[in-house]
Amino acid sequence: MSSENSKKLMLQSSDGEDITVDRDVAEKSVLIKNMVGDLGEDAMEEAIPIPNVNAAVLKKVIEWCTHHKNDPPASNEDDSDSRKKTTDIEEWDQKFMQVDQEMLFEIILAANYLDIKALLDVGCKTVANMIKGKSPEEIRKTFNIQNDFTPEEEDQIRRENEWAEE
Amino acid sequence: MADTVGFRIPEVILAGVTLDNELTISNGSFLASLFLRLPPELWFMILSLTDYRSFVLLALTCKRMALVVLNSQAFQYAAVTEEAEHAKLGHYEYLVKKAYLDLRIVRSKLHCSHHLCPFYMKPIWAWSKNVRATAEKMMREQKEKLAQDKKSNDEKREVARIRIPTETDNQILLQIIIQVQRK
Repeated sequence: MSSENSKKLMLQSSDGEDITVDRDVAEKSVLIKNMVGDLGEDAMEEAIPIPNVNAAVLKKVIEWCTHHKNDPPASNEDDSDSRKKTTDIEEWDQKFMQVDQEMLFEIILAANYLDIKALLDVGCKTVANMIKGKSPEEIRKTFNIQNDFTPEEEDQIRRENEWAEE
Repeated sequence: MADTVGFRIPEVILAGVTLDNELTISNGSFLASLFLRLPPELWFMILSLTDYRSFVLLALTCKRMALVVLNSQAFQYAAVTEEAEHAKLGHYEYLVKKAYLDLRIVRSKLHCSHHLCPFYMKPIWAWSKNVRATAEKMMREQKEKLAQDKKSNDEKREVARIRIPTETDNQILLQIIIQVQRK
């Protein structure tokens, strides 16, 4: 195997598609990094199965990893601070996360499975920003939710929780 | 554990709502299906980026979402934690003893992240006011409709009391007139 090839890894998605990716990009995933570490040279020769992630999502994840491949690894201290600033998402990441709801949640689940902390943070921040500071009506509009509470039921909930109402 | 959660939705309202894992857009709660698929650690992560009140407001969007949120470990944990903090800060006692008559003046003096705390629950108030306004409007409309129906029934009864002369009546009347004229 040439040295060029040795920098490449083959990932196999849950729907059976083989995707070739640069090793340093793939190793943004702690899971893949550990697998490559455990398997050694064998990892270069056979496709690494990623059973929980389909090809469409895996390609999106790889796109994110490629863009961020030169980012320095975040320290734990930075991490706890950055979580508080939910609106603080890079412009590129904001655009990257402009996908449909299902894809957004799939990316979050994939980032969690593949152990890509920074992508997981971006995904969860995106969801949090969609919810935070919004009224139920605004959340319904954002996520296209149909309100199936009747006005009578809403009033019942209000009365159940109203002791502290202004 | 559910008993300790401050925010409540009566069971009767959520009766019949099921939590299947299928993604269906038709029932309007696609997002609930997506949230249902998240493992607890991701719920906690999103909770850490939002707050208890955001989850309460999320639960108020639709029944399925309410069931998903209220049954999540993260929400129950947040509820218990915030209840404890709230109790520790003594805001409820403060409210009852000192501030009940004029919340607006004292609310800003205390900070509490509890969603039901009288000093910090503006989004819930907004929702509550909307719901109350709708309920009052519906009640007014129902009263007006009842009054309208009553008025309409009264008019019908009044109309029924006034006897419209039939052809037979007219013939009888004509005969009487003829008889009177003959006399």
